[in-house]
Amino acid sequence: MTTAGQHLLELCDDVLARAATAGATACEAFAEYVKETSASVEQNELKGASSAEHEAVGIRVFVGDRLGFAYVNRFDDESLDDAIKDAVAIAKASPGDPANGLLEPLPGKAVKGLWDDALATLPPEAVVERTVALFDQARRVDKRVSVDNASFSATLAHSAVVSTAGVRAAASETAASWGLFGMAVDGDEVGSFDAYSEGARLLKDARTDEGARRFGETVMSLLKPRAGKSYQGKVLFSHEAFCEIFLDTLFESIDGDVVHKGKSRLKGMLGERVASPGFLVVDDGAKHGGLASGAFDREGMPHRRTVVMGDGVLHAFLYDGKAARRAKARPTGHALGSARNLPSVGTTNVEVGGGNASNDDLLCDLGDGLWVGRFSGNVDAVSGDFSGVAKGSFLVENGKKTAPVKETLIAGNVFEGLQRVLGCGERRYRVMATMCPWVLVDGVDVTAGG
Amino acid sequence: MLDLLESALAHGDWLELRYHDRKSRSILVEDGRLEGARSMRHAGVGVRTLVDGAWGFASTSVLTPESLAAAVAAARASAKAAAARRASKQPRLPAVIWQNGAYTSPARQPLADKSLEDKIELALQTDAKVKRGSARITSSSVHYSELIDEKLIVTSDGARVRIIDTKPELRVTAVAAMESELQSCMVAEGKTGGFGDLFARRSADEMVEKAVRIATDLLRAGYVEGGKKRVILAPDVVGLLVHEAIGHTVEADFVLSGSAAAGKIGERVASELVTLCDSGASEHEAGAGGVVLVDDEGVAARRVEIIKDGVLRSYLHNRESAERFGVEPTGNARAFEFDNEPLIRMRNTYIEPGQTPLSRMVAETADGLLLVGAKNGQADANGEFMFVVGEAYPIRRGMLGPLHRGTTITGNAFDVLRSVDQVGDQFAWELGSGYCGKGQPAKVDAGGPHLRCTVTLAGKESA
Repeated sequence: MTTAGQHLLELCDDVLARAATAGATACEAFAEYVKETSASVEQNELKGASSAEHEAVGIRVFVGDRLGFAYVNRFDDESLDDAIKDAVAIAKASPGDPANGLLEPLPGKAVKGLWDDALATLPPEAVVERTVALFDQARRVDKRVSVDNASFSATLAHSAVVSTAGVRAAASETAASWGLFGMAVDGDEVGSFDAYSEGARLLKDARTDEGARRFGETVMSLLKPRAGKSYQGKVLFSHEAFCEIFLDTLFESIDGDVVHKGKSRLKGMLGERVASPGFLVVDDGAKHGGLASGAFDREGMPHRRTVVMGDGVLHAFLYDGKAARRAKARPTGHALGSARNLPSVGTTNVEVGGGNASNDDLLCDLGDGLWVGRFSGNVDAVSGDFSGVAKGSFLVENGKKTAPVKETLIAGNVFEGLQRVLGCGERRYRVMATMCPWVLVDGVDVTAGG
Repeated sequence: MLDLLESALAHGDWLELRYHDRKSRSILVEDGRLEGARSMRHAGVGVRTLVDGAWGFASTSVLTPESLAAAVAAARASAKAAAARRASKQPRLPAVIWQNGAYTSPARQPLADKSLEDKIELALQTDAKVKRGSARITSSSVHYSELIDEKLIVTSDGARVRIIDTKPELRVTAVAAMESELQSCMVAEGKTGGFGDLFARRSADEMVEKAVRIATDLLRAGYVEGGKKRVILAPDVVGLLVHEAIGHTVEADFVLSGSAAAGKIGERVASELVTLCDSGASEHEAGAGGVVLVDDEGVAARRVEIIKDGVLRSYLHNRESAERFGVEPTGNARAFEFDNEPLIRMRNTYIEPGQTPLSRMVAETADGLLLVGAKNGQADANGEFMFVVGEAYPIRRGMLGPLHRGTTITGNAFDVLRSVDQVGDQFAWELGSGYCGKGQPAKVDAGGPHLRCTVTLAGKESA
């Protein structure tokens, strides 16, 4: 137990005692301390550096089965008492809900690889050096690469959760994150922008060179776009585009609360085939060193590995305490959120795929068509219908990416698309905490503009 | 608090200290059930310094002289670390004629006039009315939220500003179903001020009526044809266009990165009928959601004519970019909370109204569409945009037809503004709910009159 962790546990204990005095019949306090050191390049110039510390507590109180919540980032007596008074007043003014309540503690396993002393003590000078290096790596590709923003940050965080139901846990973790946003500018031509972001738990894993180079090459490749071709059929989605269109909607549809409210197309489909054979989705918040891993979730429950979909068959929905109570299911350790929010259901580290094709194989299987780099559009999370512009995308001819396309609209349906997955790449790319390959999907409408 | 902040200024280099105490509430009701009500207080001081040409920033929520001194030291250490690697130095910030004092955003029926219980009841009752609005309604939600801000900004070169601001918001969503068909409509108001401002244009009941009517009517609505079309954009779609597709390209930081507006000051970029502005005040109609009287650098948030009679006249600036461009700062530096650094952001962005009544615009359109209901959208650095609109009304031989389903519109924003041949005479702010995202959220608003112009529409397959 770190000193910081002990301090947060004592703060939570204090909150629980004050809440009882204020009239709460049950209470949970989630406290956090975060320190972030970062630097940024803006408009191709090092802008500056910053160091921000933040300490806060989120207070969930219950008066019977009525719920109130308050957040405060000041811990003097008056501020804490005001926040608790507010939370109790909200509870008393709210209608009751039998789904409201706290969870009993469950034993969990230690999750390794979440703390790095080197990252926790990284000085501002080293953060600046890494930011400059990230920018240089992108610009080294070509001087026409224009970086609107490049940043690198090192974060350390301590958190603690204590409840009147017996939950009592504290943890510490570090993370580095970095990203680039920009476009290529060639004379009067401004190319389509692109964004790249990544993260790591340990300083030794915070390697920026390959991603920065790929970003530079991508924005350069988007100069001189031409009109695409209209057709209906196979489209090859990059890892980013597949996440934006398909996975974000899928993740919402496996949220046990959304399922219970009847707003998920996957309701009642456990055990059924909802994607092409071989397609796999696994969530694992207990993965050692995972970006979204943790010793416990927002309610103090241990994370665990959950096979959401295997061989295209839907195996599980995800639950926090409230969603589980409503669905009469067991919580799965998927309560997410910070001190600012009530817990809500969300995914952790996700691995997607199940395929073994090379990217060249997938391009060959596509033959002539469209490779979608990013998506700028609308996805209806309930129906799964999507439509929008394919950004950072390429015409594919005879199995090769030949030219960037402009003003090309794509449209289809997420759930029908999952049933029409023709192939997944063996190579998986990181999109924050999700590892996703390129995915070839049939039945997509492509409308060329420009 | 002012004394505490001023005492921290005695540390030498240029310093800016911004105390921001934000109290907020959020009440969400879904399908008759209170899903969450929360109260938040997020308060502290953001410290910014400029040392040897580089910026340093730090923040603290502990409001003691010792903690402020530590934050100042941390900001200076960060700035020094960056200065050592910065190629060109920002020599200084431009002089500002400070308009020091206390600024309070106007509010009709202040938010404090209603109790917490009243606000929860408003959300529960409004949600119940959505459900009762039609037998076709299968799902409903109502989200009430409010931000109550107090700020103090002091700088070592003279700013002493106190700001009080309140921004309430109400969103009403109805989902209607018929057989396997689902349609939804969200009606939202987001204002600066109080309840009198929030409900100045329409009451909660009127918001319910519209959400229910559009969601149920869409169940029977047809599809519009795709292709390049003459259209009349309603003020909410105009707001989305000017904010997303034009406004971001004229933020000076984005200009320096090479946006489509770079190097075009003095050039014709729109029809001569178009005058496009961004203002910290609520021009034409009270209560705009992005009201900023003084920005987060302490600079008065003035009205900026970005495009005047079709010619690009100005970008949006903070103090740093104003110095680089050799112009006056425009009061567009904004930070969401105390622990965010100020960035160049829009406030209330709009097109000035013209002289043509909507009825005449429709009557003089032989073949086109009236597009209403901005849902969401994105735009690129080169001005290309993609927006989803919720309602489309065909116009044939000057007559407005029935509601059709929404569609996706796309094009280049500057090309669209060049195609404008009629500007309506009625004005509305329409984008005050929700947030603009640019690394950190910001409350903004956008709007204007109806505009007749040309855009590309997706057809049935892509809608």
